Amino acid sequence: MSGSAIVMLIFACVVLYGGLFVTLRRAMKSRKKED
Amino acid sequence: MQRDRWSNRAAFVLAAIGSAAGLGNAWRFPYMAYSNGGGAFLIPYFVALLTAGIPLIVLEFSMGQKTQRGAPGALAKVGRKFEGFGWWAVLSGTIITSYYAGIMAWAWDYLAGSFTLGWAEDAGAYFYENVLQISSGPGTLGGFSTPVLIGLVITWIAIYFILRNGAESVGKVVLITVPLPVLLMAILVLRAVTLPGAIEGLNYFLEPNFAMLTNLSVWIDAYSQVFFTLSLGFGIMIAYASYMPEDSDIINNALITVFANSGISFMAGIAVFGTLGYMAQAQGVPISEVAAAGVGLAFVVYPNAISLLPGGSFVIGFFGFVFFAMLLSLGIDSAFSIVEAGVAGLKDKWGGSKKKVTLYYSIFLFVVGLLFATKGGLYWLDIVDHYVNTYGLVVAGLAEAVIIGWFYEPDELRSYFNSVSEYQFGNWWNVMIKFIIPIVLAVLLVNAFITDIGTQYGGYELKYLVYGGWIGVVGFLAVASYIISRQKGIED
Repeated sequence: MSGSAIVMLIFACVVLYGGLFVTLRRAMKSRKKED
Repeated sequence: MQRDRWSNRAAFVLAAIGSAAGLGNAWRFPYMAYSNGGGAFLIPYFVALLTAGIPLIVLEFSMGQKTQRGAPGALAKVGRKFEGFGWWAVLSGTIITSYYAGIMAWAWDYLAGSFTLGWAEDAGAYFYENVLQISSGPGTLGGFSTPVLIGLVITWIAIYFILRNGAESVGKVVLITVPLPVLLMAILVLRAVTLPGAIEGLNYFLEPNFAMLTNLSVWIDAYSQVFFTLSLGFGIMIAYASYMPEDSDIINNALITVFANSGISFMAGIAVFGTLGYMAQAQGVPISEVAAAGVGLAFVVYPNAISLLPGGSFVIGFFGFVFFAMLLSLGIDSAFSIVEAGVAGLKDKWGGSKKKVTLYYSIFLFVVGLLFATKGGLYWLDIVDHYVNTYGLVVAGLAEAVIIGWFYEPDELRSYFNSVSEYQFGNWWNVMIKFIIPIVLAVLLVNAFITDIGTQYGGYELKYLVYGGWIGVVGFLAVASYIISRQKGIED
């Protein structure tokens, strides 16, 4: 795979799956607080 | 009357993700990215998510949760005269479900065909001759295609039984139908990236061409992709959020939905382009010759690519089954969510038992959808799909943003969702709702209108576009929304 394609792959993974991880973690923490 | 309630927050978020992630994630996003600068498309796509997708989904969640009503009732609470726009959104969804169920019927036929490998020899011939039994044009309906009719019946029975007990039954179903397509897609991704030629396919998908970013059409495509992929403008998110308690977190739920939905689209891009890269290499042709989108990708090109997989007929049948099961599980959440938006609107307006409203509404949509099970159904599906997406949904989204931005105090809505959310949105949200989203959606609308006036969509004869598009979709939405909104409901 070309270098620029790898950079875009990493960029997308960080934004999308990183964003999903952070927001899910936050939701789980707030659920624990509510419990 | 006691309003339906989700059993917990996870059920709501999963249902929202299931609604947003549909067939378009698998067949629209990958091609959109490929044809708009590859990896560079991610930049306008993320900008569009931030400036339109996230603000609009937060607006829809807030409207539903604050008013505890579906789209028509929520807009009626802003002003009685705006109720019609809520019906416009719901009726747009009604039209879409009627043919969306038809597309799912094709997927049932292909799923069954995975056991006999019916589509493996020539997917194009299988699709047009065996499944659709396609007629010569929209003027020749030619009776029903039996395989499509059977698939349609199965789809509507599934939708009815999922929805008949409301949020309670939906909450249980989405525990399976949301993770399942992700798991199936992961299997397809693993197979795709380990095929020879996959790297070449991924290069086509991801290699950025930044020069394309100066092209206005790339930005228009990014905004339209974001708008359609999040199921905005159907009234679904408003209806789903209306089943949440008023003090539930809004912003984080919206962000989870957006990231998960776009993550599924990106994953689909890897599965599709990895496989197309292999197909191009196996056939000795450039990827540009095999790359496709929409119905052609799902029912012709991708099955053809699967039929070239090494390992014999069991492997071909297995991956075919995985692919069509993924399409069905992606599609079913979106289909029943659109029906639910209509059921919520009807129940809010006239009351009645949930089961009865769902049953009658499902039967009505099944009957309307019979048009798309005829041998000329594909032509009508194409025409109706174009007009309802272009004018139905975009007008609904535009109306929502303008009504909240200019006829309601956006600060009041922002104070509300900030007060119940952990993350906070600043004044920039007001700017997006008042200016950016209306401008963007107006540009999409005008651009499409100019194109439609200048050229006959799909090369169809003008009379079919007038009957199916301008009268059947735009005229119907305008007249029916107005008439329904004028009727007295239980709260009048």
